Amino acid sequence: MNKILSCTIILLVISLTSACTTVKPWERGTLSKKEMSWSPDPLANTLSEHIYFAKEAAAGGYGSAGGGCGCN
Amino acid sequence: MFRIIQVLLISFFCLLSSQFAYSASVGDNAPSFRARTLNGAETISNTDLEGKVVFVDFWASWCPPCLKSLPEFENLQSSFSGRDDVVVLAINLDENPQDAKDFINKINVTYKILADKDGAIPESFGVNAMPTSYVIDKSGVIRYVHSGYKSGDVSKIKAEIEKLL
Repeated sequence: MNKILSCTIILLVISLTSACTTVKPWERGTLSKKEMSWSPDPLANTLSEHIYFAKEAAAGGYGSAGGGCGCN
Repeated sequence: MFRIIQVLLISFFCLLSSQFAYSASVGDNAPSFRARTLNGAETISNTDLEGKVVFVDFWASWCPPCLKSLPEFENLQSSFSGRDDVVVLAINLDENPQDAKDFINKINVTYKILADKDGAIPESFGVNAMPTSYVIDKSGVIRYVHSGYKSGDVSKIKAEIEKLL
């Protein structure tokens, strides 16, 4: 019984020490800055995504950059 | 001992449930709010708007769809310009209100823009996307919630307002 109690207490304490927090939608001003993006140059990123998509015939988890033909 | 474990488990699940925040939806009473306008000239609260259909939009200068929507809301405002029972309001959520002022100075906006840099009002509404707008009826009940914005969405919003007049 003591073991169950200590496990429960440990679980509770671990949950309290969580460093994760939810960033509210209106608090994303800093995150939306250009320097916070994975690729600071959206045009270069679009181009490389398009090349990747054309070569691999597969789109990654970044959306796909179409060529305007309406076939994607 | 068993009771202690029960209490600990209940408190643990309560802690988990606190992650799921309230979000105002259709049929709920609109939360009360009070804020100063962006230029600081006036304070507006929900009690000032009783008996009116209120369109309230939450926006920020760093949110591209928000910037698209604001000029279109000016058309919404002008389409109801003859009526005093429709109010268009935008609540800016920039941490630095100067960013909002810089944008507003570039466009022609005649409706009231409130500033809430601490985010207390969106917190009470449970805003879960940017931008989000609400149509509130004359008795203070939320009748329409619109998340996100793309060109032309203003016509849907206008239709929702017209239903309440």
